[in-house]
Amino acid sequence: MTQVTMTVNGKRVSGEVDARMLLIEFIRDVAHLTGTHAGCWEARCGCCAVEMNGATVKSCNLLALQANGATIGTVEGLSQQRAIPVQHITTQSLANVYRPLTAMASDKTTLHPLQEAFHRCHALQCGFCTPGMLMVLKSFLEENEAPTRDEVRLAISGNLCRCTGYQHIVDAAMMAAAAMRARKSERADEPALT
Amino acid sequence: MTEAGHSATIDRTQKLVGQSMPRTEDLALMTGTARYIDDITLPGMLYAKVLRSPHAHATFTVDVSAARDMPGVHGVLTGADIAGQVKPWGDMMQDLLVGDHSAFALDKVTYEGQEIAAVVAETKYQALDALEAIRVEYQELPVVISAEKAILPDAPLLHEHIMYEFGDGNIFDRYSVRVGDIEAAEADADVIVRQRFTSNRQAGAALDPHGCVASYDSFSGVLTLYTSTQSLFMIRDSLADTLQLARNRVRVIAPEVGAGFGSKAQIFAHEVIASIFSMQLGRPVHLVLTRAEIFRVGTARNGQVRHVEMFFKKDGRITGYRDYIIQNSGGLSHWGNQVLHIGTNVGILPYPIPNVYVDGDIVHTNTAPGGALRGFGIPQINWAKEQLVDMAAEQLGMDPAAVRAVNVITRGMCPVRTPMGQLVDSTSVDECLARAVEEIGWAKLRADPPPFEGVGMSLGMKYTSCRHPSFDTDLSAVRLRLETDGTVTIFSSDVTHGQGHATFLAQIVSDVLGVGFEKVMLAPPDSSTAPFGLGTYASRAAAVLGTACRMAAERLREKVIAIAAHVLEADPSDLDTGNDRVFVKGLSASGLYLENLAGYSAYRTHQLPPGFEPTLETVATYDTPTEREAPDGSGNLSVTYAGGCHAAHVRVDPATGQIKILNYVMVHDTGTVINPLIVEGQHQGGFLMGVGMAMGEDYVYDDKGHMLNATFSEYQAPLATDMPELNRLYEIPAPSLTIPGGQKGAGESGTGPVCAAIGNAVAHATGVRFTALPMTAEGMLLALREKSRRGVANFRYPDDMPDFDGPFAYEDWPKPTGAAESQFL
Amino acid sequence: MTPFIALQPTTLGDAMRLMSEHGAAAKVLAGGQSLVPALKERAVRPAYVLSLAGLPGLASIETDASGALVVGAACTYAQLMRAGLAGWHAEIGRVAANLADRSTRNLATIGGAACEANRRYDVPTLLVAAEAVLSLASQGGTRRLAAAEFFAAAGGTRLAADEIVVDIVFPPRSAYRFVGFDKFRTRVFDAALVNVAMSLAAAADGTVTAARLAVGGVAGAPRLAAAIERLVGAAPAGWDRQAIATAVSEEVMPPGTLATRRMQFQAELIKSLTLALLARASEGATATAQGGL
Repeated sequence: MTQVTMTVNGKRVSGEVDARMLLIEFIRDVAHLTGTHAGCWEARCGCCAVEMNGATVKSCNLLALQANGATIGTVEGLSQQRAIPVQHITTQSLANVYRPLTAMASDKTTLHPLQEAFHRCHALQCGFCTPGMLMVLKSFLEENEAPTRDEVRLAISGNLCRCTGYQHIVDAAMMAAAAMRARKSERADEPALT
Repeated sequence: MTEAGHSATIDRTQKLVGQSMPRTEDLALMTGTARYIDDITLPGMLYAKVLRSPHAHATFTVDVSAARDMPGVHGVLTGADIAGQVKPWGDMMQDLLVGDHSAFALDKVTYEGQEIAAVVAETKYQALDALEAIRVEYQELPVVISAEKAILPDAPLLHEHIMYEFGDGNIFDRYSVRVGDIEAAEADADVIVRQRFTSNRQAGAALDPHGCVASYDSFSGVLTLYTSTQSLFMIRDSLADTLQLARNRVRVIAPEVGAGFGSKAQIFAHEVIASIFSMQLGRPVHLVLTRAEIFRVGTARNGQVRHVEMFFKKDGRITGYRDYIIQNSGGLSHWGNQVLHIGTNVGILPYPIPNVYVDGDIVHTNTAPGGALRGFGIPQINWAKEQLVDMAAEQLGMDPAAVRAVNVITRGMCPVRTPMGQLVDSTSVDECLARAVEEIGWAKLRADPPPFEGVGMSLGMKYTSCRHPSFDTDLSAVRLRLETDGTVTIFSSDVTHGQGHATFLAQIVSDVLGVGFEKVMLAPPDSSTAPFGLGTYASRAAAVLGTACRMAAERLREKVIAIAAHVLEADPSDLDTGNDRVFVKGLSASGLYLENLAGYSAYRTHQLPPGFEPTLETVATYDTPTEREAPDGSGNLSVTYAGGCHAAHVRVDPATGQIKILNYVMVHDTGTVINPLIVEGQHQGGFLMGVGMAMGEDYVYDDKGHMLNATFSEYQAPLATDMPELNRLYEIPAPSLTIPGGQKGAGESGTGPVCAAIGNAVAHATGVRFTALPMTAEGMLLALREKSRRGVANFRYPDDMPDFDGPFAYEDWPKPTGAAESQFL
Repeated sequence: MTPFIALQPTTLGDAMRLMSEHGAAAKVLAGGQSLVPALKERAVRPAYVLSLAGLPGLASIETDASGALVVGAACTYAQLMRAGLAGWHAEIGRVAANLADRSTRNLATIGGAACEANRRYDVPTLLVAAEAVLSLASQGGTRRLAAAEFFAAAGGTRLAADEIVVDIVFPPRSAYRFVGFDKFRTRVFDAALVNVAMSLAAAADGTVTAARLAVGGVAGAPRLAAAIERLVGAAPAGWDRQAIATAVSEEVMPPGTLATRRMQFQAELIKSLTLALLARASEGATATAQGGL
C-alpha cells in the first residue's frame, strides 16, 4: 500500500492505495467522483479522460501512483455546483410568503460554455461519453480558440461516441469556441484595476 | 442542422410538440452527477467476475476447489451448482419450446466466452485473482464459423439435445414467404438480376458496459436488480421465471443507461449470476462486464447470406423478388429469428412487389450470440435489394433513380395495402427520393463524375415498433400522476437511454394537459411502480409510448376538467386547459390552477363533484392495431412506416483504397416530429451505425472461433474523423394516420439505407461492386488492382477475386433446406 | 493486474542498482501507455514496476556539439510535437503529432515505444530509417546501439534485463537532405498497418549520395529495403519512382509469398507509401522548407 495524494477539482484527496490502483479507480473510489466513466478499460473510448496538470490523459491507462502529487480536473469541476434558489412556483410562493430555499445545484447559468453548447446542440444522447468529450474539448479549445470543424474532429478522435454520429458534438464545440472567444474579448475590454 | 439552427428559441405560446426543446436529461449527464450501473454502490457490496471459455466449441470439466480458498472470496458458482435448481430460459421473443439459455454452460460451450464459473469476492481484484485458481479441462470439438457450412450434413452439431419446432440440426428456425406467383413473374420478366450478398456481424458497442447490481432481501424475499437494460419487464419476467420467484418480488430498476441500440433488450447470464450470488449470500453483488466480454457474449447483428433475384419489366417495374437467406445467429439466439421475419417483411418496402418468394434458414454457429441491433434485419435486406435495383437499372438502360420512381409507393397511393400485407397509412418516400436526387446533385454527378468519384442512393422504409410473429403484443404504457402541487410525474417501464423520454413525453403532457413543461418529470424506471410495457427498442418510443402518454394525459385532462366544471359551475365543454390552469375558453388568464384542483382531490375532497373518485392518476396502455404474421409470410406487422431516401457522394483513393464520403444527403419521412432536435440526433446516430456497418465494423474470427478484434483498438467503430459532415438532413413529414399524434419511428431510419447507398456510389465511382460487408480499404484496393489486371469494366468483390471460394454462378447456389415442406404452408 | 511492488527511484544510480537486483522480474514504466494496458490484461506479470518519473533529465530534448539531436527516453509525443524541431528533425515532431490521440500523446514516450517494439508502431521504423542510436544504461555503464541493431528481427529488442534506455540520438540535420515518414492506418487512432520511413543524403545539385528506407508493420522489426539505393547517383528528375516503389515492395514482401489478402494489401500499400515519399522528396527540390532535395 502506498500513500497517494492529489488535488482533485481544487480539493486535496489522499488515500492508502494498492500499487495496482489506476487513476480512474482513485477518482471514482477514493475521491468518490463517478462522472469519470470506464467504457473500455483499454484507453480507446476516452470516456475516462481527465485533466492532469493541465493536459488530458485517459485515466484508465495510468496508475494512481503516476498521478501522485498531480492536479486533476474532472467533469465535476467544469461547472462548480452552487447554492442557488430552488425554482418552484406555487400559489404560496406567488404570494411571497416564503423565499425560495437555496440548495446545492448545477445551474444552467453557471455551466461551462461547452456544457451550455452541448445542451443547446443536443450533443449528447446517452451521456456516457460526454464527460470525456467535455474534458478533451476544454483542453483543446483552450489551446485553439478558433479551430476548424476538421480540427475539432481530430481533437476528439481519441473519444468514441456511439449515439450522436459526432455531428452535434462538433456543432457544440464550434458554438462553445465562439462563446469562449467572446468571453475572452469581454474580459480584455474591461479596464485594468491599477 | 446548421450551427445557427441550434440557437432557435422556444415559443412558449405555441404547442411544444414540434419544437426543439433542449433536453431535460442533459444537466445531470453533462455535470457527472448521473449514475450509471458502475456508479451504484450499496452497503456491503461484493464484486463478481466470470470465468469464460477460451474455446468456441468444447466439452469441459471444471474444478473450483482452489478458488474457494483464495483471499476475499465469498462464493464460487458453476453450472453443476445450479443444475436442476435454476431454470434455463428461452429467448422471450421466439418460438422455442425449450430454454437453451443458461447462467453457465453445463458441460459444453458453443461459443467463445460462454460462462464456465463465477467468483464473488470483497474486491474486483480478489475476484479476478480467484478466477485464475479455477482449473478447467477442455476437450475441443470441431468448430463451425460460417452459417453456410453449418447447414451442411457433416457440420458439427451445436445443440444436440434441443429439438426445434421448425428446424433441425443447426437450423433452429425457418422462414418463408409465398406471395403471388413467383414462377410466372420469372417467366414473364424482361430483365432478371441475381446476386449473392453477404452481410457482417456488428456490435451495438454501447459505451456503458452491460452490468448489474443484485440485492436480495432475505426478510421480504424481494430481489432488486439494478441493471443496464432497455426493458424492465422482459428482464423481470425472465429472471423471476428462471429463479422461480414471484414476479411481484423481483424488482428491476434501470439506472442511467449509457445506450443499448438493441444490445440490452433481453436478459443475460450475468444478471442471473449476480442474482444467485446475492440470494445465497444476502449481500449486494456487483457484476459489470468488460469490453472484451461484451463483444464475445453480448449480442451481435445477425450476419446474413442472401441469394437474391429480382424480376423486372422493360419499363422498370419490379414484378418479383425471390431470396434464399442463410442467417448466422451465433452460438445462441436473442431474437434471432425475429430479425429475419420482421427485417424481410418490412425491408422489402418501399416497393409493393406483387410476387415474393423467400426461404430462410436461421442457423447456429460457434460465434457470438446473434441479437437485436439498430435496424433489426432492415440494413441486411436493404444492402442486397437496393444494389440489385442499381444492377437492374444498368441492364434496363435506365437511371437508377428513375427505376425507383417507377416502383415506389407514393403519397397519393396511401393508405395502401401491399401484396406483402403492409398497410402503409401514409408516406412521402417518393418525395424524399426526388428531394435527395436534387440535393446530392445527382444528374450532373451521375453523368459526369470526377475520376474515382461516384454517387449512389438507397430507398428504405422502416417499421415503427412491431408485432412480433411469435409474441403477440406490441404495447407500451404510461401512468401519470397529477401531484398535489400541480406538478406531474410520468411513470413508464420503457427505459430512456438516450432518446430523451423525459423531454418529449413532457412536451406531450404539457400540450395536452396545459401544465408547464418544467413541472413534468419522468420517474426513474422501476418495475415496482411503472406500468407494464415492453421496453424501448424498435423505434417505438415516440409513436407507441408517446401515444400511451397522450392517452393518459387526455384521461387526466378529463378528470381535472370535471373537477373544475363542478367548482366553476360550468359546462365541461366550455373549459380548456393551459398555463397550469383550467379556464373558461377565451379567458386563459383566469381559471383554476391545477395545483388547487389537485389539492381538492387530496385534501379538500368536499370540493369534488359528487361521487367523483379522487384519484388523479391515469394509466393508458397502447397496443398497436397490427397483425400477426400470416402463414404465407404476409401481414401488417408495423403500425405505421417511416421511410426515406439516402444519397451518397464518395471518392475512392486509388493509392490506398480508402473510401471517403464527400457528401451525404438524408431525406426522411418521420411523420409528425415531436422534437426536431432529438429526431435529427437519432438520424445522425443511425447514420453512424450504418457507416460502421458499411465500412469497417465486423466480427473477425480465426478458424477456431476466436474473435480476433474484441477490443476497441481493433474493432472499427467509426471516429469523428471517419464521419462526413452530416448537415444535409431533410424531413418531408407524412403524418401517420394510425398513430393519433401522427408520429413515426425515428431511431433506425438513419441506418437501413446506408450500406447500399455507399455500395452503389462505390460501384459508380470505380466499377467495383461489393457483395460483402464491410467495404474496407483493403477490399477496395485489391479489387481495383485485380480489375485493372483483368481490364474489365465491372468487377464484383469478393466474387471475382482469384481466391473466392463461394458459389460463383447462379447454378451453384444452394437450395433452401426446407423448400419441400414449405410448399404446404 | 497481478500484484507488484512499485519502485520509484529518484536518481539514475538508484535506478541502475534496482534494475541490477530486480531487472529480470521488473518492468520499466515511463508513460505507461503500452505497459499499463498489458498489466491490465495480465499479459505481463512483473513482480516489480520501476517508474522513471522521479529520474531527472530523462525528458529533455537537446542538440549536442556535433549537431545531433538527443531526445530523452521519457520525452512524450506531446513534447516532441511542440519542440519546434527544424530541418528534417521536424519530421520527428510530425510523426509524434500524428499517432495515437491527444490524451495518449500527453503520456506516451518515445523511449517507451522503442522498448515496446510493437511492429505496428511508428517510432521503430523512423529510428531505423534515420539511423538513430539508443543509449542503454546499466550499472555496468552505458552502451550505444544503432536502432537497426536494437530491434531484433524476430520481434522485441536486444535490451538486457538490467538496462534502461536513457536517450535516443538522431544524426545532425546536416546528415540528410530529406527524411520522410508515411503510414496507412484505418482510423486515425489505430496503429499503422504499414509504415515507411526514408532518409536521403544528397549533393548540392540534388544527386542522391545515400538512401535508406525502412518498412514497418510487416515483420518482427522494421525491414530495410536495399532497392531504395537505386536512387543513389541520380537527381529526382532521373528517378523511376514507379519501378523503385515496386522493387521496394517486392523486396520486402515478395509477390509469391503473399498468402493472405492482408499481406497483398500491405504489399500494395508499401508501393503507394513509397511513391508518396518519393514524390514528397522530389517536390521538395523546389520548395526546400521541409528539407527536400
